[in-house]
Amino acid sequence: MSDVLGTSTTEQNNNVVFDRIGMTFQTDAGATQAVANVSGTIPDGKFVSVIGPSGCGKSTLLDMVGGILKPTQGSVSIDGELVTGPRRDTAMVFQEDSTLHWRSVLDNVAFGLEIQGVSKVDRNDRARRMIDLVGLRGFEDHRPGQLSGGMKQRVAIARALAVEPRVLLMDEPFGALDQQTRQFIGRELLRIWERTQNRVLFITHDIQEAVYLSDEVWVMSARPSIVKEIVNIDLPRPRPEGTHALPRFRELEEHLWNLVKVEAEKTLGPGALLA
Amino acid sequence: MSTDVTILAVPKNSDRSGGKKSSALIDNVWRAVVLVAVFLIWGFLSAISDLVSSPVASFLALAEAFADGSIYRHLWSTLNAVVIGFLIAAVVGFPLGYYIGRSKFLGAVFDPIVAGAFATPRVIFFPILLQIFGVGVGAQAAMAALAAVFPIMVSTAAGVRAINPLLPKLARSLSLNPLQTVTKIYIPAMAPSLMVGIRIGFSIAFINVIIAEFFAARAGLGLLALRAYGQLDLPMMYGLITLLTLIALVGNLVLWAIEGHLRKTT
Amino acid sequence: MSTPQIAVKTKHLGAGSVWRRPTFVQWFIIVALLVVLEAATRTGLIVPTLMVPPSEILTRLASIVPTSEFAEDATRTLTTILFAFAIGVAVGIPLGVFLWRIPAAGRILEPFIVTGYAMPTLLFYPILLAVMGLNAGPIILIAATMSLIPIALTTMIALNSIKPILHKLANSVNASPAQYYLKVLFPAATPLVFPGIRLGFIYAVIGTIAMEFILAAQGIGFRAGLYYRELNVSDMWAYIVVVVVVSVVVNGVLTWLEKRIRRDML
Repeated sequence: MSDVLGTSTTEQNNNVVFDRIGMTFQTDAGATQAVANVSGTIPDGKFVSVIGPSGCGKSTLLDMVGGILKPTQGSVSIDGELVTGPRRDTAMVFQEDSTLHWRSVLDNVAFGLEIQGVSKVDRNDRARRMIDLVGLRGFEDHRPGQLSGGMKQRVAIARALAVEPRVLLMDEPFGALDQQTRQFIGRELLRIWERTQNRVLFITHDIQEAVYLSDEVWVMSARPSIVKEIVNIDLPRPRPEGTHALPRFRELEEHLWNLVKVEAEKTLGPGALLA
Repeated sequence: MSTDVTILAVPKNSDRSGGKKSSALIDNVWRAVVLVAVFLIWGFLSAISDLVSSPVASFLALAEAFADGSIYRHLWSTLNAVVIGFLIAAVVGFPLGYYIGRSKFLGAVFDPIVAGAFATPRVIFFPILLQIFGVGVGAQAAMAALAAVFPIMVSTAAGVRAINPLLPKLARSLSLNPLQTVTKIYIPAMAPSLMVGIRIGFSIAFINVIIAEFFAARAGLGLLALRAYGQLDLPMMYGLITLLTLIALVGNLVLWAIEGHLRKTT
Repeated sequence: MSTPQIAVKTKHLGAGSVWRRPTFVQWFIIVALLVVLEAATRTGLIVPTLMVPPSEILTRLASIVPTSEFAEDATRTLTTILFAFAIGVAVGIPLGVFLWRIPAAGRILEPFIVTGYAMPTLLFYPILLAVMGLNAGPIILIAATMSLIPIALTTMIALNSIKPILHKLANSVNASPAQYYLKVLFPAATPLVFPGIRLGFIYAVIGTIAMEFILAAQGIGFRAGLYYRELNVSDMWAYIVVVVVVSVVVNGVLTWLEKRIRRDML
């Protein structure tokens, strides 16, 4: 299928494959093409980040993998199966606080399992393990209203992980957090991912974050967006705290920044980023 | 940053954002359709039931009352009572609601009292008002004032509390005097909730005047309706129901439109 | 600018002065009002045709409450209120869900529903009486229409104000429509709908007692009106007190419930 990337049929069985997907929204102002002709593959166990200028359709891409938006062109398949709706083996984490404020932390984390019909004993057991994993032990009976923004996002991550997804979809999950919390929780995510080894599709605005977390960074162009370049992040894993200071890290960061800058200038006009 | 994407991701919203003028027009056309439908159902009911007079007969009865001038005395009496009562309620209710809303302490003391009064059927006090003012417009106006003052206080206090706490700070930083703070900061910021108070206050004043006129009055549309019932004058009865509904509807639509406009602009 | 000062002082002084305690001030106001009324009625400042001394009202109340007539009236009034409220909830909530689910219907019909606040629905009483007969039915229906309006409107507003992210979340975990309503929408909306439910109950109380007051031949509201016509001032006041106490207690219980629900769910 995706000859460009040279993926063979056997490999596709363990991959998330975008096959020339596109998304056109109908509005009163006419048709707007948010995503055009994106192809790509997320191999098993890989952490892929997507960066690009504001409004380039990054979230749309993610929603299409999550099955909550149907692409108007092309298709997404996971492990050889076409995505036609939300699947049990995908889970999403959003930028906004998506905790259910009337439920305890435990019941929030167990929410996905509850919807799937998992028995109370089993789902609480799994939820407790996930709460441990995201470092919220002792907060099981707290309400989201009693937690900080960073802790709420941990709850959301634990809820997503609890269904043991084969693909984790994260839409700027740390976008609403302050810089310190963001770096800290990023490291935590990496630690968790190294243990669970599922595929992650991670949307972000933050180039540093993308480089630090990912195996691959996809740079999207301005609207109608395509994947402009796939940058392989060849930094060794595990990535300890000093990783940000490595010369290779700086190189990759600068390379990505240059790519994004060109795209951002297309939408905002030349020189806009200097102002 | 990414908001444009999220808006797009929920295609439902997009049809609300664009073409506001045309959709408002379409809404009004539909509202007219609803009104026509109501009249059609009314007509249908009148055809199958002796208890319902036809829309045409009702309008004719009403038109006759206007033509021979017999209705004006009642119409003015009712409108007078509503307007006077509402104005009294506004003069008393807005400042009191404002102070209750501004002060934590006054709020703690008076919130339960005002809420309790709001929950009480104030029409039960009408006999007392009759004793004080005698049967007439005075008692009806007092009834309207008593009915409308508490909802006005409640929504004014709620409006003050909902104000962005930065605004009083801004007023202090600009060293505005108390009058300027109220007229330049509070009233514009509270305009939508003040309008809610006005609308609910008007509604409750209107309803209570009609109820009070049923109980005892010298003139008024409520009294006229009661007489029509007594004489089993069905067309006049339905004519009056239509007239009263029309007053309620027009009054509400005007206030509701102002409210919507303020909500958009502030 | 006195607001923050008072707040700060109460915090620092703690229980410094009883005059800073809202409950004390509330009771003081109520007791002072009773004392003033007692004095005014005893000295003849308030004429006995207007009001009798509160102590006398209390003794009348003590002899009225144990009678079977009072028990019948109270039962009649309370069952009417409960039926009206039950219909208000059973119709109001689905109506609110409908107005939310079909946004165009919500937009188009909202002004009409809002007008319901000002609709003198009591005008339909004679017709309902002819259709349903001389029983509690007509009053239940009229009070129910008053009750369902705030319930329907707040249900619609509450559902509209639910964060879109919750829809997205439910969608992403593939929740069935039933799961979406039961596990996401209703729990999210409950604390926001409850103020409407509270208002709905209050309107059922107001509607019932007001209708009894002018139209019925039984019930607490009817007695207050009856004793006015019989010029029995002390019994009229005794029933007014009953109405006020019932309303204040109902409002207190509902406010307490609302606070609890909001605390548990927000």
